[in-house]
Amino acid sequence: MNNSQLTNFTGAAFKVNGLTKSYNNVKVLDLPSLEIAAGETFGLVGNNGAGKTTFFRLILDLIRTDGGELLSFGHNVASSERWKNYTGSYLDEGFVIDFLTPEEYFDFVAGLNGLSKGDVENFKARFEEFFNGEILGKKKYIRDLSKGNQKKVGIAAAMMTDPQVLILDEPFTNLDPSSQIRLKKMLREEREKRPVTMLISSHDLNHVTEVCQRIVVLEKGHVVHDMQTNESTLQVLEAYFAG
Amino acid sequence: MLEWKRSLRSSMWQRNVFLNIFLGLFLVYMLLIALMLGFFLDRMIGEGLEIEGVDVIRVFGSGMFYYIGLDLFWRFFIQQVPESSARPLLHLPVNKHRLAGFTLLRTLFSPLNLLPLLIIIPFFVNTYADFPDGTAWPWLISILSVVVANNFITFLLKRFLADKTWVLFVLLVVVVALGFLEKSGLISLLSASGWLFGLLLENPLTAVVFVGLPVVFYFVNVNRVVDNLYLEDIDRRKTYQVDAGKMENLRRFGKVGELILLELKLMTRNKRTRTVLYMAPFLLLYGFFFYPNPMYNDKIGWLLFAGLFVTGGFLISYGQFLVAWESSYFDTILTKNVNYSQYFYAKYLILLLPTVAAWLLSIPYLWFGVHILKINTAAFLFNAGFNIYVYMYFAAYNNKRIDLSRGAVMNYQGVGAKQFVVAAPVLLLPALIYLPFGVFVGQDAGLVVVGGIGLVGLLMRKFILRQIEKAFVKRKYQLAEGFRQN
Repeated sequence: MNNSQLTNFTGAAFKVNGLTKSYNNVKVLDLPSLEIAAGETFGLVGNNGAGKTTFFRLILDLIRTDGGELLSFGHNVASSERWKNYTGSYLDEGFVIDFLTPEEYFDFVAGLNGLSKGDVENFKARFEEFFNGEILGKKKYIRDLSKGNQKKVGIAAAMMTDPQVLILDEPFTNLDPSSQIRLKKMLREEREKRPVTMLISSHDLNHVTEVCQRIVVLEKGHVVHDMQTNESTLQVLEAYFAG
Repeated sequence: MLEWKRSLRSSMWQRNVFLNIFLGLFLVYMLLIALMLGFFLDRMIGEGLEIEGVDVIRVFGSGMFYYIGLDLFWRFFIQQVPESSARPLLHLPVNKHRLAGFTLLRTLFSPLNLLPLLIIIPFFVNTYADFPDGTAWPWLISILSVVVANNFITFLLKRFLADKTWVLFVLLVVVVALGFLEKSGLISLLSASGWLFGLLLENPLTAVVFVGLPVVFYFVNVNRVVDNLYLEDIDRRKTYQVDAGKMENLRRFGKVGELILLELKLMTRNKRTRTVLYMAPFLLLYGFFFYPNPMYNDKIGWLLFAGLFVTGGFLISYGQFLVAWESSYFDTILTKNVNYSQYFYAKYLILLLPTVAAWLLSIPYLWFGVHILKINTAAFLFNAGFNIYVYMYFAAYNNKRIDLSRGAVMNYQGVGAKQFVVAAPVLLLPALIYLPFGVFVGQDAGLVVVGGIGLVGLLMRKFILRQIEKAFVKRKYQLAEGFRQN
C-alpha cells in the first residue's frame, strides 16, 4: 500500500454511514451521513462532550461503533488495517511513549514505517523551527518534557511519515503562542505541498478558521453546522457559541 | 482528621473484592504467624538449644543483628517515604518542621511496625521472670527502640540507595559472605550481636544508648525532610542515562527488533518493571527450598512445581501483564503502523529468551541429582511451549491500567482475580499430567510426556501465535478502554 494508490482513488477520503456511539445508553455521537473529500482540511469544533474525540477515536478504530460504518478511502476502518499505512494521528498523551527520548520515539515510528536514516534527518531539519531547540539533543525522556513539548513530539511524529491523512485533536492547546503560529503555518504549507486530508479539532475558533477549509460544529453528537470557511465563518461560529 | 480520610478513602478499598479478601487473609495469616512465633519463640530456643532461663534471652539478643538486617531489607522495598504524603499539605500554613515531624511520626503506625511487636511482646511476657533484676523493662524498651530506629533508617537508605541497582547484588554478595564467615567462625555476627544485647542484662543503664538511636535518626530525618519539602524534590525525576547503547543494534532486525528494543527500554526505564526484573533472578534460587529437603526427594509433582518457578521466574512475573505494561501508550500501538503478528512474535521472544536463560542457569542444580536436571528440563519445556502461550493469551484479558512509575513490591495495581485463575492451573497442570504416567509407567515416562507437550507447543508456534493474535484483535477495544481509565 502506498500513497500513489490513494491518489488514484476517486471517492471521498472518509464516508460515514449511520454512525452511532453510546455510553451508558446515552448517545454521544449520531452521524447519519458525512463525507470528507480527499485533500480537504476539515475542522471540528464543539463544546466539551460534543463528540469530537469520540469521532476521531472511531476513525482510528480505537473504540467500537454501535451502528453504522466508517470508510477510509473506501475501506471500513474496523475490518481492514490498511488505513494505518497512510494515517498519522495525535489525540492525547497516549500517543507517545513517554520513557523514550524524542529521538528514540521518532526512530521507533520511522522503523515501523520503513523510513531511512536520511528520512529521519530530513524530518528533524523540517521540524527544527517548530521544536525551537527544546526537543532534540536534550537527553531527556518524553515524560520529563513539559506538556507543550510532549505534544510537539506527538504532532511531529504524526506528520513524520508524510501521511495522506492527518488527524489532530486540539493540537493548539498547551502550545506556547509562537508554536501555535508555527504549527498553523506548517499545516498550511503541508496542504499546499502535497495532497493531504486533515481532520483537526479545536476550541480555538480563530485558529481553526484560519487553517481549515471546512468547519463542522458538533453539539451532543449531532452536526449542527457544516460550512465552507469564508470571511463570515468566524462571526457565525462566535454567534453560535455565545448563544 | 485528614489521616482518617486518607486511609478510609484509600484507593486500596476500590480494588476488587476478591483481591481485598485475598490480601486481608494474607495479612491476617502473617500476623497470626508472627503471634505464634512470639508465643513459642522462648520454648523453641530453649528446647532447640537445650538451654533455659536467661540464656534464652541472650540467644534472642544474638539474633538481633540478623533481624535488623532482614527488617531493613524488606522495609526498604515496602515502606513509603514520608514526603509523598506531605505533598498536598505544602501550601497550608503549617510550620515545615511540624509538617516533617508529623509525616515522620505517622509512618510509625504501619503494619510493618506491628509485626515485630507481635513477636517481641509475647516473648517478653513469657521470659519476664528470667530477666536479672531490673533489666526486663530497659531490655524491652531497647529492643523496641531498635525497631523504631529501623523505621527511620529505612528512609535514609531509600534516599541514598533507591534507583541504584547494584545495591541488590552487593547485598546478595554480602549476605553470602556473611554466611560463610559465620560458618567458618572467622567473624560471627551472632556473637557480636549477643555481646551487644547481652550488655543490657548486665547493666540496664546501657538502654540509654539504645533509646538514643531512634531519637537521633528521627532528627536526622526531620532535617532531611524539611530540606526536601519542595515540589521539585518530591516529584524528583532523575534523569537516567538515556543512552541505550548496544541495545540500539536490535534495530537491524527490522520491525520485530524495533519492538523488542522498545520492550527492553520499557523494562529498564520504569520503576515497576525494573522491580519485576530484579525479582525474577531470585526465583532461580527457589530450588534451594525444595532440592536439599529429603522430604521432596521422591515427590516429583512438587519438584516439577519448583522447576516451573525456577525456569519461569521471568515468564510468570512479567508475562501476566504482557500487554498491560503498555497501557499508558496502548493507543500508539493501535494506531501506528504496528503489525500484530510481528508484535506478538516480539513479545514471544521477550518471554522465551529469559526462560531459556533461566534453564541454562538452573543446570548447576545438577549437584542435587540428575533427576533434578531432568525435572527442570521438562518444566522448562512446559514453560516455553505451553505456559508462555497461556500467559500471552490471558494478557489480552488483563485490561487494568498499570502505572509504571510505582514499585512492584506489594503493588497489586493491575492485579485481578484473573491472575489467580491463570496462575494456579498453569503451575499445577504439569504435576497433574505427570502423575498418571509417573505412577503407572515410570518417572522418566512422566517427565517425557510433560516435556513432550512443551516441545509440541514450541513446534506449533506459528499457529498458536496466530490464534493469540486473533483473540487480541477481538479484545483490543476492551483493552484500550480499560487502559484509558486511570
